Amino acid sequence: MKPKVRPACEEALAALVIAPVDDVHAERVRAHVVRCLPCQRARARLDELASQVRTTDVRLNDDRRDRILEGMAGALDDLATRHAGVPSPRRWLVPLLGAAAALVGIGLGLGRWLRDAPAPAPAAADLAVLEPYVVAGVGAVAAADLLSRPWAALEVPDGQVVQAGLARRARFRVIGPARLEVAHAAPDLVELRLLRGTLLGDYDHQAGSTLVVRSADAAIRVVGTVFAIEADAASTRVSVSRGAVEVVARGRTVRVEAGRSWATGDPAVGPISTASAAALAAHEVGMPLPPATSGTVLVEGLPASASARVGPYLLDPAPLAARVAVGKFSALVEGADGSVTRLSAEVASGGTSRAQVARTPDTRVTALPGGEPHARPVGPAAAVTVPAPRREVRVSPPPPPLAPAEPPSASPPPPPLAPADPPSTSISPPPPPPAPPPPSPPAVPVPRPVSASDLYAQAEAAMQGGDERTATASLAKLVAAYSGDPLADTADYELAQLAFRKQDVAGARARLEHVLARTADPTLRELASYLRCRVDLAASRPEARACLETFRRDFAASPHDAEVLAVLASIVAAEDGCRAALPLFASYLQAYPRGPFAGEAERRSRSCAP
Amino acid sequence: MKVLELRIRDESMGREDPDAALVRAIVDGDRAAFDRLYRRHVDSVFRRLTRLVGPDPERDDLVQHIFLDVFRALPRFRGDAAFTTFLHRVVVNVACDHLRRRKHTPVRLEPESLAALPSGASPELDLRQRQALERALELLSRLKPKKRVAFVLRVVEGLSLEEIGTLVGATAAAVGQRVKHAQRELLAMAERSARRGKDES
Repeated sequence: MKPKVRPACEEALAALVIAPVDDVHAERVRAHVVRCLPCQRARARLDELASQVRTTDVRLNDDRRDRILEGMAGALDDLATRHAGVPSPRRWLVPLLGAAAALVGIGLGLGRWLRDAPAPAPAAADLAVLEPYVVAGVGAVAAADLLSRPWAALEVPDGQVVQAGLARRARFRVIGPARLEVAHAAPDLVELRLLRGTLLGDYDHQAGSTLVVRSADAAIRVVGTVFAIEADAASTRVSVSRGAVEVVARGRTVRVEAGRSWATGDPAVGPISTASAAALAAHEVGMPLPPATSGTVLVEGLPASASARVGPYLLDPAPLAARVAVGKFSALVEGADGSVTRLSAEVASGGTSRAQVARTPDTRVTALPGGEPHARPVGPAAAVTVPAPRREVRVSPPPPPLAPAEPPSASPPPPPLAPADPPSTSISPPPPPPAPPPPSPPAVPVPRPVSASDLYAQAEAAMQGGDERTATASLAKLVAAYSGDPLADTADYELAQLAFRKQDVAGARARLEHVLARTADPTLRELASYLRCRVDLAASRPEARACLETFRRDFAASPHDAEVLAVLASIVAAEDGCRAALPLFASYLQAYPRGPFAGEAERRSRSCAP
Repeated sequence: MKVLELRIRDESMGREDPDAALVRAIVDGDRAAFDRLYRRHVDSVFRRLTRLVGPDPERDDLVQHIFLDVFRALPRFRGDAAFTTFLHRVVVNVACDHLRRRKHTPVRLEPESLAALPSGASPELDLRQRQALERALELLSRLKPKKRVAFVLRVVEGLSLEEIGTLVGATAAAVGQRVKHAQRELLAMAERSARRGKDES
């Protein structure tokens, strides 16, 4: 049905806003509006809209002002140098002087090059190489050499994950099988090439500098953001959990915002998959870049794909080698059986240490996922056994769509290619890892028409194609037919998400209650608990506050903690007054001093302080 | 050597215009003067930008973009208009370009925008306000950038058509037409959305 706004009202309101031609006309218009109810309603709508826009006013705090200014310091210096050569308005002189300067520059550069002493600017040199600082997964310990130097390209074998930095401006996680190269590096543009595999990135955008990632069929311009790119020869998928990216592919430019995902060939941008979101969340809490003075620590003997926590950071999947700060290294690991293990090592500058492991004595020693025998405690004198508190440790193997499709290869990992040094430098491939035990024969599936995995795959494919109806039907069928299957809980969770998206709050809540009552999977529990809080908030349920408090208590290390804490602080301030929220503001500032809510928390802390 | 003809004196006040002095210092190579100029104006730039493009997560980048454009253009700034007019012309240009690039993307509020909403009554009220803001931004996002900018500057900021014309480089009459069309489209969209809400309920 065509909407109806009376033309007379439109004209009257337009006249009010764009100033009538004379006073008499103005008076006539005002008189009309006073008597005309539809006009008043329309005017109220416009006033409401304007007042909503005014509520977006946020004062910048000092930190943010400084950060913006610092972000353009480099570009300002460049521009200032150019300004310095413009003493008079005779503009024709500028290109002439520029050309002369360029000639001198070329001459000087040529002279240097001829003297065989090319000294690239430090910034550009730093940007031209990837500095791996964690290598994890299959053959990781044997490939620890990778961490000893920067590389212009990284070849990551199947089953392995490499974390690398780029001039302290970006932090990447390359999930094998993958190949990532630096194709171009200059202060204003860094171009990477992802030939295949998955790249998760966290890029600190600075004005005047652009990061572009090219795959076989797309170019992705990254604005300061957290993103995932999955590339193969035929297509590319881009998912974003924070910020935004612009993708140019197949003659189209597509902008992918936070919480969205797009694959080349998709008709439209869709929601990010749960798996990608979880992978990016795990990447965000991954190990930060190591300090300049660091050593290497080797972590072995953990269950396959287990993750360790180093302070608030996640280090995964085991086995792994990581460059860490010099001194005492300590990490906590929770096994699938609930046991907690502390790893410790003394790390020397430039040296390599092996983290020593001890398991709690009261835990069951059983066959581990993947069939590996459990590592025996090494060096009990140095290892500290801690009691097993209920502690959330995300065990995060690469999630389904991001994970390699095949089981980890038993062959030794190929060496990384194209080192940053001149090609004359010889590259010695890392020694091959010890041969893994032969894989157990695959279980013979019980023949049945459609398995739970098939249904889940159908639902995923439908979601990727934007067909929520089919996805819902497949998931519902899965839940009904395979209620005992662990996938049923995941399907139930997905159904809750779909219901929530359709604003079916009651349906979403019922599904989530069901999931939480059944599943023991800590990751799924965390996701479901988080979604339940969001549902309660959206429905303005009084339980929302308690839900957020419980979430923080149960999942203290969750990547959603910052957001949950911010919302909780706002609610407490609203319900109990600003002073009651002071401890929450303080907690936020302590845990997330550069978080998006930090400025507001600081302002409120100051204004509410007694 | 006289590089620029700046309005160094604010005649009505009989004292030096601080912006003009800072601009002159910047052009003479004083980087600290740029920092001072930045701090004088960054809040107003950020506020206007937010109103024009909404609580976009890229605003910090856009603010940098604006000040870099200004810095780049300062040697050509002749002081025919006030520095603030010159600055806000850049703000409007950058906002328009950004809106064109962004086109129709879903409105996503930053947590700070949520925090900025008047709170204290109840979480329910906060939530309703957030939803109302999302709806308002969604409607605005469907306008063409020129119309959106004209509407925001006129209706939200209360500038005169002539002032807007100076900022956007158009005549007052053209700006008036943009505002009028923006209003018409917004009302139609709001009406449509209200009807849809009724139908669904």
